[in-house]
Amino acid sequence: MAIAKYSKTCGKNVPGNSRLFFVEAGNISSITVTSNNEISAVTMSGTDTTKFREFGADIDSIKFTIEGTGSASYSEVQKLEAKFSKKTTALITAKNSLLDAVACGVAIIRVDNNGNAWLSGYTVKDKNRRAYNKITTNFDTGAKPSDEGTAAYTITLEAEGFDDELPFDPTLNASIIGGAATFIDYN
Amino acid sequence: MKYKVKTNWENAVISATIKGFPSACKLTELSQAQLAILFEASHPGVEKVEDEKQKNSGK
Repeated sequence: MAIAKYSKTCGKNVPGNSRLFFVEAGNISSITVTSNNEISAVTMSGTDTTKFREFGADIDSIKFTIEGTGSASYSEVQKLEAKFSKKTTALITAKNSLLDAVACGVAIIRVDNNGNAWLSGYTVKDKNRRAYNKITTNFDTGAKPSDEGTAAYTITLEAEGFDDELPFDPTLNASIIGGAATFIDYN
Repeated sequence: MKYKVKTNWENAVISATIKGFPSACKLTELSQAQLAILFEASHPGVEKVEDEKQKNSGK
């Protein structure tokens, strides 16, 4: 099998993420991808409440990682970690809804600091069967007002699979960034 | 009414969990009934077209 060529394009790369949207993976009824493997359409099943829901994370706290390994076979663990403060009933409700959703699998759209949106937890081959199905939560009050980074929930979702995230085509990407995507319920 | 895949969407591949849909396939391989489902779900790559019979009966 021929190895693909890769040409480096010049331009700055900005690490980090800015926005986060969760949905029960079972609520996605279809994704359509172009020949460039970019998502050009997403359709959802059910009513408005089944759309991707925005979770307002703390600034510069959303981190997505992939740890892949293999030889004759390959697999990768994808993790999405984000911090949410301060602790309120609304945050507890949101966290609990995520705990319920994880039992059936969660799909995620994240917007990175390069202005690109990415979908994980739903793939062309496996559809919603490789969704995020593990969650860990961590809360630490801190001891004093100057304990920076404490008194916040850290929520981490984890999925194991073999396909990378999928980007969106320029039209849909602009729609997501611009707050106009019909499959997202924005804050 | 008939449904058709819009221009520039002919090579798009759909991966759907909708009952009765095939595994990942091109939009152009879907049946009229399946395109109708996508149209109702506001899929941007599918449009409704008036079929010839209806056009003629309207004359």
